[in-house]
Amino acid sequence: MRDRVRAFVEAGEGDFTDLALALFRWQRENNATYRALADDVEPTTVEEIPAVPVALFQSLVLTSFPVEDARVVFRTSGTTGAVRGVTRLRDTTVYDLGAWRHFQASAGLLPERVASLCPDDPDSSLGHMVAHFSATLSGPSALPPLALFRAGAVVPDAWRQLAAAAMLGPVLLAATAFALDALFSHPGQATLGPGSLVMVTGGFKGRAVRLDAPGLYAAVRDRLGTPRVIGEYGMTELSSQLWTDPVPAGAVPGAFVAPPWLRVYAVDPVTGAPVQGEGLLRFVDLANVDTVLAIETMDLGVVEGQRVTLRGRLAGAEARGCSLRAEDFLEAVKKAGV
Amino acid sequence: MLDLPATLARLAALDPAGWGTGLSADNARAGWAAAVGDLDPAALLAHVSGTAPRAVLVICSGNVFTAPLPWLLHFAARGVPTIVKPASGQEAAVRAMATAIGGIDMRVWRGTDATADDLAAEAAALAEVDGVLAFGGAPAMQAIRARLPEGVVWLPFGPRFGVGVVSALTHAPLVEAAATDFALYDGHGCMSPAAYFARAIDLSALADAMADAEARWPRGEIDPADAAQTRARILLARAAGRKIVGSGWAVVELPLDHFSPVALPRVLVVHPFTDVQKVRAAVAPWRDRLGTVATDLPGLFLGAPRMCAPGRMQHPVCGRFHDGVDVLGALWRQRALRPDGTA
Repeated sequence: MRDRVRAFVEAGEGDFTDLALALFRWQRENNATYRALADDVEPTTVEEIPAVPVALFQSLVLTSFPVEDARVVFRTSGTTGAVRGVTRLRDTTVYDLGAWRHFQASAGLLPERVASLCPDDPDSSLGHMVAHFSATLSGPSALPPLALFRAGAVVPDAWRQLAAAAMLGPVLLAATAFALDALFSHPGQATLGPGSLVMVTGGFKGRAVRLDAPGLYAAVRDRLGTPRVIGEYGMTELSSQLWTDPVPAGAVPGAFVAPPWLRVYAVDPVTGAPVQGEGLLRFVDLANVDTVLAIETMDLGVVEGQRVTLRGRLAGAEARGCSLRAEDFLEAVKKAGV
Repeated sequence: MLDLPATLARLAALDPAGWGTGLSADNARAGWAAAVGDLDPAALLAHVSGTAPRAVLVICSGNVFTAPLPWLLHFAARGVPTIVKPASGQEAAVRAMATAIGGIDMRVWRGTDATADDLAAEAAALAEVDGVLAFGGAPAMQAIRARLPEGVVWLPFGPRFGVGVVSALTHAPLVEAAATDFALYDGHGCMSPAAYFARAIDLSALADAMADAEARWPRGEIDPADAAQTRARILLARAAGRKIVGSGWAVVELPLDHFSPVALPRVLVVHPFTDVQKVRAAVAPWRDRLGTVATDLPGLFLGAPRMCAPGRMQHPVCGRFHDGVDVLGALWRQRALRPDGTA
């Protein structure tokens, strides 16, 4: 099954629906937890494949192989809650292949040097992806990215290091929106030319930031020169990523585009039934061969073919009064250090 | 002076069905009847030592539409002028209560995404009072706290959760009591249980009780986020526990290590246990948010400021300390005596 998925990702061999349905049956056979969730379902369409809410990655082991064979463990960041979701992989072969292929196809001409304003934790899937891009772009030397963000903070001489790197040629600056905002809170600037690319991923997820999204992208133009800017949408539970089309510095990236091996559709949050227009996003990701291919997020969006426009996060209504909402719960967990 | 019997009669005659509570008409009526029925004239008129506040501001949170009722009466019965700010969407309920009690100044402004006019309205209210009783989420509370004038008593009450810990959920009346706790208010408010812990469980009996509760007090509107989390909780039970799902309700049995302090509308979550220490450990990470424990186990203590019998979670005692805080005692100032004994 892994070979079939790899062939699809690499060369587009096969039919998506046929492969997705086959992968579902294979995962159900090999993943006892998924079997418990979906033993009475015989899907005939992609939308009928039972989707696992991302919250369940916090409390269930969801692997299609013996869990003791897991060589790679990715955990969700603490920004969405300190009860961290866990994704276990046998290896990153399919993950790396898919990440690189879709990034390359989306971003166009790429620099050789990578600077990172992303988490450097060994269990961060984002950190892994950026490291893989850096190793691939730097050729035989397989260099790690220039780390400008360590232990949850921008390094003290980040601007100097970034400016020095930009003097050597185009740079791919991979950043979370939160870290980029933190960088802009420090004085300094760097001149990234049009051959450079700033990759921005993630929202602010309730963290204290100085700039809103338009402000952040305006600051890219004002403080980082004339790089192109590209947006990324990904999550630990998803092995594939979605990318926007690159835009000039100062512009806000638009809709995210899914790779051919990933299907997105929206559902009614209440019923879970597919809807046209805005809904809760579900992903069917062939690259999730080691876990479960269909997941349900808490993100709202509008899907048009392979393009997704994000509309924010489905949060508990403020009107819950004095009861604990999921967000409060996560905050409480964070404080308790669980 | 407030004519308490007449006021209570006026309140009892109100029908909350049209107040936009988000609950079904029958559930809103049940909640209102419980809230009015729990009012205790003796507690409302009990003497509080010290100097009464000049005026009090009550800032309400949403959805638990009955929450302001006892406080408005505590202050009105003691002749303390009260300004009340309803939560967005709760204006009808607060207006009805204020009108029935009389002499209460309801004012409306936005606490979050506040405009200059909202901030001016808030500042004007804060300038008139000696104390603020505020219910709501952390960001809203922090924002108000930052704007509080010096010397004003600040009594914030943030989100909490409740649980039940009982000997067995196998027979009435405990099964019906648990279902009542879960059904009233549709899981909203800190007095709705997030889960019950029980040494023995009859899932079918619980399902029957939840079906009965649904027939008596149908579930109201459901928030989309709650609905998505409910689907996830039911799926979790499918993988890790047991479940019975009905129309508008679910009964979910999960191992202790899947305890979550988030209550969901009409989702009766029950965790089996053998050792109370394990219940204590399951709740421990969130103990500072534990508000209410319903139990039939003598001597049980989990650190909650409020203990009650199963089935009584939604019936707080009138005049109690709220979340362990003596609200009236904090608002009534104790005059310091000079060394010569004069005030």
